[in-house]
Order: sequence, then C-alpha cells, then structure tokens
Amino acid sequence: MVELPKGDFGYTIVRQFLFSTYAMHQWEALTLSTDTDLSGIAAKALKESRYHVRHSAEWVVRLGDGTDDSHGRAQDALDDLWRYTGELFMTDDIEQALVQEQLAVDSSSLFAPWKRDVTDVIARATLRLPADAYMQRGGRIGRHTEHLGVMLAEMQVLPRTHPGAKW
Amino acid sequence: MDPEVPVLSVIELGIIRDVEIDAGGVTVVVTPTYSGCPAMKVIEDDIVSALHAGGIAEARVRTVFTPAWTTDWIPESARKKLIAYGIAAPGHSGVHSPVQLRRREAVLCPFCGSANTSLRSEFGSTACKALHYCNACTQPFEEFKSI
Repeated sequence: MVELPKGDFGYTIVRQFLFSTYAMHQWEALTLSTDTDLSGIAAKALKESRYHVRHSAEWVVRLGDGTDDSHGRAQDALDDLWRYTGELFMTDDIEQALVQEQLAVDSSSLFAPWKRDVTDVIARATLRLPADAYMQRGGRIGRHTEHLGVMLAEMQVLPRTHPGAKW
Repeated sequence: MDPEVPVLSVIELGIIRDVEIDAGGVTVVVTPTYSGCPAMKVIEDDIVSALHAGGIAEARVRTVFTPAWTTDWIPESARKKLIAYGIAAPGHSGVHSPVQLRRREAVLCPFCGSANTSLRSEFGSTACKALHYCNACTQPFEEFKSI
C-alpha cells in the first residue's frame, strides 16, 4: 500500500489514515516487546503516530462529509486501497518466531482494533466501508508493485551519480 | 540552545537525562524530542563543543529512548519564554482516546492571549509545531505541540 503513487489529495489522505491507524496499534503492541531498544522506540513512535492518525482522520471526515466531489474521491480512494489492507495483518513463520520470544507482534492481532477505529471514522465521514474481497499479498516475500522500482531509483540517484558523496 | 527554538536550552527542553563523569571523560545522556528531528544532530554537536570549550577533552553524547520524551517536562518558566518568543506553549499531553478527532483545549494566541483561535495546519515549519490563526488579533502563529 505504501509504495503506491500519491494520487490525488483524497487518495493520499485515505491511505495515510489506513496506514497510520495500523502503525499506531503496532507501536502500541511493540511497547511490550522484551527488547528494550524496540520498546523504547515504540513508546516514542506511538505518541507521534497518534498525531498522524488524528491529522489524517480529521481530513477523512472533512473530505468524506464535504462536497459531492470530495466525498466521491475519498470513496474511490477507499475502494481502491482496500485490497491492500489485508496484507497488513498477515503473519509468517519469521514473525511467529519473533512473537514466541515476545520480541515482535503477531500482525493478525492488530486487525480487530484497526477495523474498529477505521469503521468508526469511515462512518463519521459518511463513507461506505468496502467489502472484504480479493486482497493483494506477497510483500513479505518480495513481491512488489512496479512503483517500488521507481522509488528505489529516486532514492539511489544521488549516491549513484556522485559516488561517496557526503554533506 | 535548540537551533529551531533559540530561546530554550537543552535543560529547559528536558532532553538531558543524565551526566556521567568518570576517568574516561564526560558522557551526556540525551533523549530525542521527535524521531527524525534534524535539530538533534546540531544539539549533540553543540553539547560536545560546549564541553570542549569548558576544557573537557573527552566529551560524548549517548542517546536513550526510555522514558520517551514528553513536552510535560518543559517547565513553566520555559513555557513563558516560548510565548514571549511568539510560539504557543504545549498543553498537557494526557492520554488520548485511540482516534481523537478535534482537540478539546483552546490554544491561546501568544501575541494577544485570546482563546479565539483556529487551527490552520497540524504541521507547521517544523514537525514539532502546528500552525494556528488568531481570530482576535488576526495574527498567524505556531504552537509547540504536546506529545
């Protein structure tokens, strides 16, 4: 979901909301990690992600409950992005091994609180929650969208153009 | 001093958590304000330079994340300095509901003190500030956000 192009403002905001809400619950759960570095960073990140959720949730409500145009664009974005949300809650053997040692979080456990918050804001925004149909998957095993290539090229352009550059 | 808010010292910001002095020199233990705040590197360099200038050759800065920094550590005296500098001081961070829409407390204008202000943007000139507008004195102003 996060490697997709920005789209219009509605798309950017809806994606930010869906992802920030996920990140907030993930950080919250990670504050209980047995790794003290990770739990410390999580406690810090949790505060900032709450802010991101508030910012994006307010905009989702403003756009959804706004004009016909903003409502339509926000609904289109939600319908488009929904198929990328299923993967956020998929787990695998590597993650389960970390969960066993209480280092990481079982991603599937984040679904219920995420769905509760998202459903609440979507309703307040007078938007329609899409049905859970086909979900994209494969990010964890290296299957990405074509957009990732463009993003990596952009991030690598400086060191590739000026090898060893420092500032 | 915080390079972005040049009226607050690192002590007033509450980011100095400890100072360790041993035979190997002085280590200042610092906790970051915001993750990714570009001022943190400058602040660390300034701390080391200040110690060098004070005659301490072996000066180091160590970063800790726990407990996480909160604007609640900024004392009242420093909040007054912020307001005098034209930045609204952070409210108390408190515990928020999972998805909180709209903040409850009014942000007071640092110029005229009015509570008749409106939020213009959750993100201001830096990640740690929000942009507001005072409806009473028609001045835009920034608020140091509470976290």
